[in-house]
Amino acid sequence: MIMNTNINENKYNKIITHKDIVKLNWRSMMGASACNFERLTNVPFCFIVGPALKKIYGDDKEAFSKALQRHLVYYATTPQVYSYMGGLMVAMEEQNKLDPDFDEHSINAVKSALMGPLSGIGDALFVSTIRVIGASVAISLAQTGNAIAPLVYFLIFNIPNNIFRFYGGQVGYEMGTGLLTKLQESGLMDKVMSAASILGLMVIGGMSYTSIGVNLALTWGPEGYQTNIMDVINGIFPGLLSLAVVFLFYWMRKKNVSTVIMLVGTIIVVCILTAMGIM
Amino acid sequence: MSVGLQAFLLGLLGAYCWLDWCIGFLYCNRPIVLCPLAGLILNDFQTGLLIGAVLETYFLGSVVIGAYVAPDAGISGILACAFAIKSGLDADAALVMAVPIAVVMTQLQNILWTLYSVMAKIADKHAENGNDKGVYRIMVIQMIGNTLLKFFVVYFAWLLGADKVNAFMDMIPPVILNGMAKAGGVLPAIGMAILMIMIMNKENVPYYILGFFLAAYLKIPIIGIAVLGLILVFTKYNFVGAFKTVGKERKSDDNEY
Repeated sequence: MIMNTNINENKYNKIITHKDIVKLNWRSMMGASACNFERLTNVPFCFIVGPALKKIYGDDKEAFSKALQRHLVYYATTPQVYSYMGGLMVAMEEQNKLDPDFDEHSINAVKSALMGPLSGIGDALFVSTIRVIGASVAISLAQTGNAIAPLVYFLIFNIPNNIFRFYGGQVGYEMGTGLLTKLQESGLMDKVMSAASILGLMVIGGMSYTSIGVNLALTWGPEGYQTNIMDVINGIFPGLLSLAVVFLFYWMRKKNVSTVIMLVGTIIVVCILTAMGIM
Repeated sequence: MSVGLQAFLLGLLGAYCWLDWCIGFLYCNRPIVLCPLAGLILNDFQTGLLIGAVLETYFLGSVVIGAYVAPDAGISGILACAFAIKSGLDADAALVMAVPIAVVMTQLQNILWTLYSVMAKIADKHAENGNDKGVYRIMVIQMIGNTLLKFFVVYFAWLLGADKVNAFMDMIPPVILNGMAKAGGVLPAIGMAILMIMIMNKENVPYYILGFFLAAYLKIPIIGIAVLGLILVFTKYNFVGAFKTVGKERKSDDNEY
């Protein structure tokens, strides 16, 4: 079986064992089962890494709850890389437990830095390439009335899909532990972690532009010669409104406004603005 | 087979459109797989297969990429195929009937996912109390909600016909439908802000703006931004030099033994 190959117990000399990673791989199958607009698949991601976190922090309830909260932040990637990301995150959490100097903020910095690029690669590989190959072959079979078409499509897509999934957790974990050990020995940990924050922020910046949509419906000018205000704003600084909204939320969060209020408030305000014809 | 049983079985195919995401993203919630099965339910496998080929070609480009949700190929596929077999329409005409229902589905899903954002706060609360099972429970409830939505849209579309479903949608005030969809565009900003709280400090704020700027002005894809960022931090922290010295030190260590 795929799941039992390459067991190198030397790689697992700390808290996490191969069995935990296999469990993580299996759980990553459900990684897209729930979705919401605010943080996309954050709840399933927490589900994927949950048991490993429990094993790492089991005796320390407060650290465990902090770890759970860490993995309920915004998360979105191609589903095929869930297990890889999960393995990497578990390696970092383990390091966090073992090394008292470890900066726990770096965990989400690394996650954010990788999220965008991994989605880009994963989408290009699975959604735009493997799926299209499978579908094209199956379409040509189905056109001639060959009943095997759906099965061919299933196999072409799912063999690579599952190889990625069941190796992903292990590859992610091994890379994580390998890299972290090396960084610790070399004393570069602090530098690399602040570099990861910079990289993470740049990616979040890019994602803020691509994934947030704030549009105004207002126009001005005489009848027939109206200018759309949104076009004017985007002509000067594309996405300025998205940026302003992010910083508004950031400021509110700094002031300890609860996210529930922010959420419900946003929904109500947007509905009112839509009714008034502003949005 | 009675219409009720047909509606139920087609509804199950609709439910599978979501369940596919929960059993390992097999990507079988596509017309090429679902249309032959819909054909099987309506006792005409061969027609289902042929229509599946036509519809899969139409929908080849429409997939979920990032946060952008495309019109639901699975739901439109099932219904278009079923309408085509029932009324002898060709695939194009059947698709014209089915796509509005898929759009309805997406609108209802927008409302659901907006409400789920609020519901996910319960998961946050459970996490604060260290209750992992509570977090997982939220996931399962949301999963069931998504699945049931898809089941019932297909079920009622087949039982009552496309016109009745559209008439039902006209009863929901458009302000709610549009408002919820637009709120869906704004909500990720909260998710981003929470991530920034965890990572950002006074010194690295400019890099967030830089990333935004690269995407907004120069339309650089995220991978491109990441590569630029990598080059930036490598030069900023002089990693090239730093790693070299580490390598040398380790080598000289080895020589001592």
